[in-house]
Amino acid sequence: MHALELNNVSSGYNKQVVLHDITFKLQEPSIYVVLGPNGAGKTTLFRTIAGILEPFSGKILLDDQDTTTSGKTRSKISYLSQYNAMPEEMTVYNALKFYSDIEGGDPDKVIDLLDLGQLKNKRFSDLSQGQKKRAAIAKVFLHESDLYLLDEPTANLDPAVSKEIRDIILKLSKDKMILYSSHNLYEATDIGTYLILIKNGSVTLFDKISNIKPKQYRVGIKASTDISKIVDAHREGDYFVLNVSSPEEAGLALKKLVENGVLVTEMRQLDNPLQELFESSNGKVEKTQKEPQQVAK
Amino acid sequence: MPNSAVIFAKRSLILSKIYSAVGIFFAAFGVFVSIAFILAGQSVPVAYFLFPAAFMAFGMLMFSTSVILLYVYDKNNGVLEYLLSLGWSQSDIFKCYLKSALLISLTLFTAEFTANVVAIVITGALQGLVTLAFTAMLGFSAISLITIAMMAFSSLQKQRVGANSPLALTIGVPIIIPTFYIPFFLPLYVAILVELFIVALAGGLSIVLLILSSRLIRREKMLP
Repeated sequence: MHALELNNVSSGYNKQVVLHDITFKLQEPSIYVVLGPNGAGKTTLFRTIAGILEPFSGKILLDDQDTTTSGKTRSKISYLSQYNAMPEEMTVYNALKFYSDIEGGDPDKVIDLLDLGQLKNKRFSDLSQGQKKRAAIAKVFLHESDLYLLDEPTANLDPAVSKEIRDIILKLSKDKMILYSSHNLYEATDIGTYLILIKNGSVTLFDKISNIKPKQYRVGIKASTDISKIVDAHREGDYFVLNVSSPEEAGLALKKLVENGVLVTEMRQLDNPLQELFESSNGKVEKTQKEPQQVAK
Repeated sequence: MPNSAVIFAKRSLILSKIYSAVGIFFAAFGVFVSIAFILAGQSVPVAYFLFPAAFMAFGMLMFSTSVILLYVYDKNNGVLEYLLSLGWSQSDIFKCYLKSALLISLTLFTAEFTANVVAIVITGALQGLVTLAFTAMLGFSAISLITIAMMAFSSLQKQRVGANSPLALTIGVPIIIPTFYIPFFLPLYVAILVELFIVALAGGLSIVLLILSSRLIRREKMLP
């Protein structure tokens, strides 16, 4: 079991501090989504953990070894930046071979792993954005690491390709510790187990996503008839919208509709559970869950 | 960095063929003049043998310019950032690109060397060795300085490959240009001393810059 621990890490560019006293600990294989608006400090956090930026203060420990002083420890961290970082003039195979010569690993293995067989002889510059991202991800999995840092791997990709990339990452994430940054709430709930919310360079929340409960649920219902006379719902576009305080309350409403002979064709939560949290993070920081920088259990 | 310099050298030649072609042109002209002087033998003043050296060194410089373009290219597309994440230091990166530049220029110098040695062997005109010695000294020292200086100050150049003349040429040309005139205006020994001074200056500065690279150049300057 591997563990990553950040203790009062401050970091940034030149002398400008971007991250302020970041403290958290990851101690189980899982996907940890680092969520925050643009400019919150997600990329700086990843670059600092990856050893690209040297922290101004604090310590980063991987399995109790300081990554800033131990090259061997740092080599156990793989980093996918927002840039593909692939030599564009090379074929996919040669680009992966180029990196495998530097960092080790078997290009053929990752080509199989990411199903790049049909692309391996194509020039990287000729690939679509989604294919480029798949090849770039393959590079990160060339050698076995203890920690994978994936910085917005689905940025600028269309929803279908984003889903494909997330599925690949989910497939590869078994028994691995992955830090995955995003500013997409739906992506965060789709792929993540833990949430690290970051705002203005500080961690404002660290918790299991399943523990995060909104104050109110907006439930959309498509039904065969007007249900506003049966339950307290109002019409919004195609849906009757029901505001409830818990999933159980929504279940009771559904039961009531069925008992009244209403045919319910669709029922879904309209807002993302992280919406409220994200909005409060963009404005006033709300510490509704555990205290920030606390270790998630 | 196993064999990385060779790989980077190949990549840079693939990426930019124009500078390679210009480099070959200058080198070929230098070799032509050099062989003409060797064939002319005693009738050519020895100081004049420094003149083709300037052309051949400039050819080597142009030929290796593609490495500098590759550096800017790799910086912009995140390759340098990835190398830093693999544990490379700024100095490791500089050394890798410098080795590539020297390797590329060595291939051109080998061709220049071979052509000149053949002419010297045929004619017995040993003055041609002066050309070769100064070509090597001027070429490799100027390439070292320009490559390292360019990497160190690459943040001043944002354009990608082919988009603009590299800043390195602006730095490099003033170093090489005087060597085109010196042989015609200065006596032999003074000319040799001045050119040795240029070689020492360029070589010394490049060594100092390389040693100080990790301190002088912040890692964030290598990020896209």
